[in-house]
Amino acid sequence: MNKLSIVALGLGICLSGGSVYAQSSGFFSNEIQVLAGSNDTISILTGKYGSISNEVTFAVSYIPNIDSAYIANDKNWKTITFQKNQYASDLAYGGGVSVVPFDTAGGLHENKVIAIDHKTNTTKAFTYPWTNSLRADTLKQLFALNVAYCKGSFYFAANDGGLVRWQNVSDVKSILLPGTSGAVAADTSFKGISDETKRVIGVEVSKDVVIVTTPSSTWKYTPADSSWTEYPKTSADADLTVTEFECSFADGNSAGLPLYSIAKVKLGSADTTVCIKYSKKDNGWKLLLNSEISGVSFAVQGYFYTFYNHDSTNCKVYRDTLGDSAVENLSSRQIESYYLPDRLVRGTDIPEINDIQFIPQSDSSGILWVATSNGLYLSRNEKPGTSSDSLLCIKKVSTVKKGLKEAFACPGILKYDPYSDQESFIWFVYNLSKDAKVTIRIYDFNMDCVKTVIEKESRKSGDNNSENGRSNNKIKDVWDGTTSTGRRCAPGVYYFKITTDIGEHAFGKIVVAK
Amino acid sequence: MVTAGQVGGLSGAYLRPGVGAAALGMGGASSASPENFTAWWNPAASADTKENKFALGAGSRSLGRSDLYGEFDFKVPPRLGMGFLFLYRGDPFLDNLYNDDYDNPEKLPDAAYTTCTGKISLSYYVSRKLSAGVNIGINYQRLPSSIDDNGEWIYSSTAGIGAMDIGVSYKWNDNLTIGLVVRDLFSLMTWELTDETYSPTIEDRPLPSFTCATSYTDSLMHKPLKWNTDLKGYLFDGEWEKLERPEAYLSTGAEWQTWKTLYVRMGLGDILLNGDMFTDEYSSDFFCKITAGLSVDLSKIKKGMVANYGVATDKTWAGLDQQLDVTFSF
Repeated sequence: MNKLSIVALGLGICLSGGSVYAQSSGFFSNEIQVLAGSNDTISILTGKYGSISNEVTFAVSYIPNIDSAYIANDKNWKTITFQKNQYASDLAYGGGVSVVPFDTAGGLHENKVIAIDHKTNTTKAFTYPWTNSLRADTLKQLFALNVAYCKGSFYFAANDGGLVRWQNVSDVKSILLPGTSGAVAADTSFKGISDETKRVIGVEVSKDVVIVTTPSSTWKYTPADSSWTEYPKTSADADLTVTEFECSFADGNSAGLPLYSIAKVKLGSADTTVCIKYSKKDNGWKLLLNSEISGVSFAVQGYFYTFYNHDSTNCKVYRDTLGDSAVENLSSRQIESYYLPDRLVRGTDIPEINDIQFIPQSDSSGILWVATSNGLYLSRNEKPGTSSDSLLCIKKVSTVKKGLKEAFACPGILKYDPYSDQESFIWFVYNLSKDAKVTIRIYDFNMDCVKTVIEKESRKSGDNNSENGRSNNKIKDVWDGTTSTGRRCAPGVYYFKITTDIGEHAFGKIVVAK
Repeated sequence: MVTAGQVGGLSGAYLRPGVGAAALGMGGASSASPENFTAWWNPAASADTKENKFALGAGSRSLGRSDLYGEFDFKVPPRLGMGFLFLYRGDPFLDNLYNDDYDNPEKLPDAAYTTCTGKISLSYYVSRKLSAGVNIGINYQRLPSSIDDNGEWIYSSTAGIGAMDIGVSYKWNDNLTIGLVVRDLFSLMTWELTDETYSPTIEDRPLPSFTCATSYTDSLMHKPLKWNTDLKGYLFDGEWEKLERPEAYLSTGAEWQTWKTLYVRMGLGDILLNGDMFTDEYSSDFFCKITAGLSVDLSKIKKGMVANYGVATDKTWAGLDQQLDVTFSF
């Protein structure tokens, strides 16, 4: 019986469409991928990759009260853990429900979507309103990897299926097509979008407006009057040609909802991906940032936070006060070019930023949530571009027994990682009762010394260290499976010995399988 | 400072500890004139024995490492001797392995590391002074390498046939025997490290070793004394590339028959000799095995039966290595 099943049996089982999801308390993982929330609730999508099992597991954790003490208590978080190797692609929260679409990496043309009711901690499978004849058309891409919530409805960017609206309370589903007023009948007359440039690839929500992305246009959809406004690829810069929209969004905190997009463009003669903004004054798109950002969170007073795939630990802050009227190239005019990293650092960890959400609380400040590879961070009174204090870090860390009573290699098996371009390594995890000088040596099966990892290096006791209450140095106390002369060790079992000048010592085992 | 040798971590670590309680008690020095487990120590030796011999033993080493071994030696008159040796060696108690979640590590299921070695030796009695022998080995290893969807270990294994040891034994005079042994020639094991998504292949070639050994017999207080010394050198890696720094390990030990049926032994084993020998770090980090042992002649219970026990400190002071075996000569 696998571990997830044990957890499910021990803590309660959610049945949903034949699937079993483990329900538990506490964070599932500190690798937080996506944030969704409101003034009083935060919901997070976390993922965990096991290099030994080569498995990915995703989970959603949520909490109904964002008081600092409350969120810091791991037990207050509720978690729904999904089955292994089901790749969650997005998360949206609204009306007490979190919705998670899953990536159809297996080649299916319709994907799984799970809704989690926070009040009852139960899950429900969402099914698309496709007819059997549409489902039978295997050439159609009828999945949505992107979901957003607006005014009582979840919106799915369902590619050839258009924009699917799900009013979850009444369980009413509608198919919306950009530019077409009203819903399309979900019957055999709907054959799906046949023009690839018009399939719905992205959906975001700003205030009460849904921003819809198709490769050929960006659209604003206003649910209140079911109206669509199109923003085609028209450029207002002489040397800018918009090739394809990838993801469009709007600043809901600025007047006129200024519209932005990450788009493939031809800039001069170069093909590139940049951030562009729509200029109402010029009736076209203009270059805003000449860099490929992976995400944006709009704050107040025109400030916005940007984060990047290629520079994943960084966050730059810009300010755009021109509203929807005009566009200024901000590429070299960031307020801060290295804004969050220093405020997130804990010990030797510099976390990667995966998502940012800013929830305005006044004209000049708000609550800042940052999803990172090393936990969830919170600034309760964030003044964009001005605040410089460290963010509150919320993460789950298991304690390690003091006095080297517990010392281990993490992971216990050193394997080649096919998904990483870096040499795999293990950490030595231990906790000293007092500050001490530490030596770590590796031995082979014949107890011949393979390598001295560290020799008589000072380490603090866990109580006296910022590294999660542990004594080991996460950068130095590592082994990559090589000998003292740099040769790669043969596969086999190895032993490590940790000695200190205070008499504490420990032994442990490592399997080298690479 | 690194007082690690060149050998640590390189292929064939499980083949480097000796076999047999008597040899363990003498510091692991038994290559010149082994009384037991000749296929392991010197394949030339079985031609020189006067009786057939069967031996069975087990060992427990520090940190959960275990041995199980047996041998059958017999003469093929007039000049040949043969031996069959089986050795299990492994760590059946891999019980403290964790997954890769640094913040919230979880213990993995218990696992085991298993190796099996077989040696078939053939020796030839060249003259009253000289005998020569060769053996062919079969090597097998099994290692946990991944975890499947059910949380069970996926094991990878490798086997190699054709590893060869060559030995000669020369009686210099009535007191002194000299042995030369080259071990683990042409040994190759190819791992396919099984995984659910990929299977990398790794060639595992144990290092050849060159041993020069002596066995000196005399008497002490009118009772038989034997003094063995093995100097085992490593010059090349498994692919016959010269090691950056050649090195050797010296093992030496003595056996004294204190009573008609009791032999006591003691020795020092695996003293590293390399280019660091004359540095301060070498002396401050000096380590070797301290060994002791005894044998009891149990002929009164069963003719030709001897029980042997050996004990040694390991090189990391993690615990004791012990071996206990029984031999039958007939």
